[in-house]
Amino acid sequence: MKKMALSAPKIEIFSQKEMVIFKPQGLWAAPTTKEAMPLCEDILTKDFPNRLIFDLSHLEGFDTAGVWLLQRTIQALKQKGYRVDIQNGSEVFFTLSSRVDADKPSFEKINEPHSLFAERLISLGKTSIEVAYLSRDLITFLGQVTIGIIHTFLHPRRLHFTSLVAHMERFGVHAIPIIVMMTTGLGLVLAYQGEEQLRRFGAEIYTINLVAISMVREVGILITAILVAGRTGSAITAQIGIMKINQEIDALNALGLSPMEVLIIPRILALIFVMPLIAFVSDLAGLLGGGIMVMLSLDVSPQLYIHRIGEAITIGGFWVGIIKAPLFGAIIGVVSCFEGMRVEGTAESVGICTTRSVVEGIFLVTIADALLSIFFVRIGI
Amino acid sequence: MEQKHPIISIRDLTTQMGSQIIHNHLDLDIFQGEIFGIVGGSGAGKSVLMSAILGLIPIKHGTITVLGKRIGSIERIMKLHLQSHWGVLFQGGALFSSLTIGENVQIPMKDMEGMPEDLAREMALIKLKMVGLREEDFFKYPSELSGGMVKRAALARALAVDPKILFLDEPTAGLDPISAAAFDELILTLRATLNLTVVMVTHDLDSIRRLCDRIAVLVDKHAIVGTLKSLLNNHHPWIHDYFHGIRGQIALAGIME
Repeated sequence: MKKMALSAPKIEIFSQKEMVIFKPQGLWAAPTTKEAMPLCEDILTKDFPNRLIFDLSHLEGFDTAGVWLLQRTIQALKQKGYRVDIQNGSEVFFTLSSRVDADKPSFEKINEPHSLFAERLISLGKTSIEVAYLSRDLITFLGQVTIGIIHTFLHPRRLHFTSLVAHMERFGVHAIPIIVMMTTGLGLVLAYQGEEQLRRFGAEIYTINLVAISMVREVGILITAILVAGRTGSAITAQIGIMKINQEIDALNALGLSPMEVLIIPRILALIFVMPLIAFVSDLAGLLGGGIMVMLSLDVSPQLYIHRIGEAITIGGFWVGIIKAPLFGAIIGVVSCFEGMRVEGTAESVGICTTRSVVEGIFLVTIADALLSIFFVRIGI
Repeated sequence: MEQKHPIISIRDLTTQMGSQIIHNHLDLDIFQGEIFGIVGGSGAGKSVLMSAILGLIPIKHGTITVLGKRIGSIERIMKLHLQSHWGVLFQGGALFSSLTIGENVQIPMKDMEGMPEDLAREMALIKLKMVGLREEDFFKYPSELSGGMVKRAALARALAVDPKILFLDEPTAGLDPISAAAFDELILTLRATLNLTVVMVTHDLDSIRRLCDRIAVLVDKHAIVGTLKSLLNNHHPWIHDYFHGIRGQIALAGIME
């Protein structure tokens, strides 16, 4: 039984007239199966006289793996029609061997359940059905959220106000540094590249218009939404997902609290409320970045820059940007909560759903932005 | 069962969680081949003690020696080597949720270089059946199993390569009485055949009575060690309440006079 005294497993074979004696030696245990297995397979390929004996007197040590290895060899020999006996096995060996024998695998079932082709076909079918269910579930969820939000407006007291404010702080205030950094940089780059091109037409002063309009109408809000989807959407999905695995969602339900009311509505509302605010901050940061570049390279005074911006951006243009923010917030919120509720049991599933939440969030935001862009231009704002 | 050299030896152990001292200069010896129970009230540090022996938490003071190697002072690789000599059943099962039950049980074997794949799979099946699961469960994921089945699968993983030392954290909690009894028998068989040393944290008085050679009661940040009989005569208030409470009286009827 000592695993420490490692001596490699061997089988000595003594041929006598009309019978063969096998003497397994050394340690027959899980760590030495690498050496032991080929010995056994070797035996199975050879032909012997009808009577075989396994003499276990020289066995130094064994564990369940070793016992099973001997047993499956003997079993296979018996199936080939040999008469096999075991001699000199210790009492411990037989105790273990009868235990293993009781639990030995039935060989028919241990093969892989399906062939590779069938596996692919099954997975194709599963995916198709999954997509159908997914669409249905997303629409159902959207409906539930809508009802939930209407309900909250009709009964404002049911709103979890503390939670809403806490989420607004976490989703909004804490996101400001990274958003300011990113859009300022973007403003700088936009102004630099725009000026390079416009200079060729002698219209470099229009860099200011370029920066102002693109930032305020499109880029500011889009960058904000992408950042929020990556930063907040993933956090929401992971958090709700883990809560689901820990049965916290079940606990809420069992306590008569609706997860929709307690978890989902506050998060979605927080995103809807906070998105216009961070989008505004992001606009300002973008204009600041653009301004720094314009002032440095075009020798424009700050007063003039601000004046030109005022001319470039109409009130309508400003609102076109800001009005999209709550919508994007709602998209990110609904998608991330939905994906969070779809987490099932495993750690892997949290990873998959979180990835999906971010990807779907950004995808849907981009589509919505494109559609709105066309819409606003068509109606002439 | 006791031999001279303890397989696990704890000297002067002090552990701390945050600002709270869990164990204060605790001494403990566990010998080869015995089934050693650890009991104690909630928060007495049963699981912490097990984590300390496994090297999962830092030790503030003292030494723990397992199989002649000092935990905490040895290199990480040595620790890994040691780990293939012990099997651990965590309280919640701690099965890897992205692997099937069969793959979970095969993990310790994969660690063992060169174990033939067929054999590893058959061994996994044998272990699963040993702990009372069915062959169909091989391809299931942990999230598809009930709590008791997760526990059994985790036990199968702990037993996968016939460890020298088996650590069990609340092994019978969540099992029905029939499975719990079968579990007790399984442990006894394995001990008899493989000379297993078992360290179990448990509250199951039936298991304690059936299995444990010696018991450590964690009270007042120390361990009071004894056989079941000697502990029954201990006058420490907590120990007295533990064994002589109503549940204790029912479970241990016949031993007590």
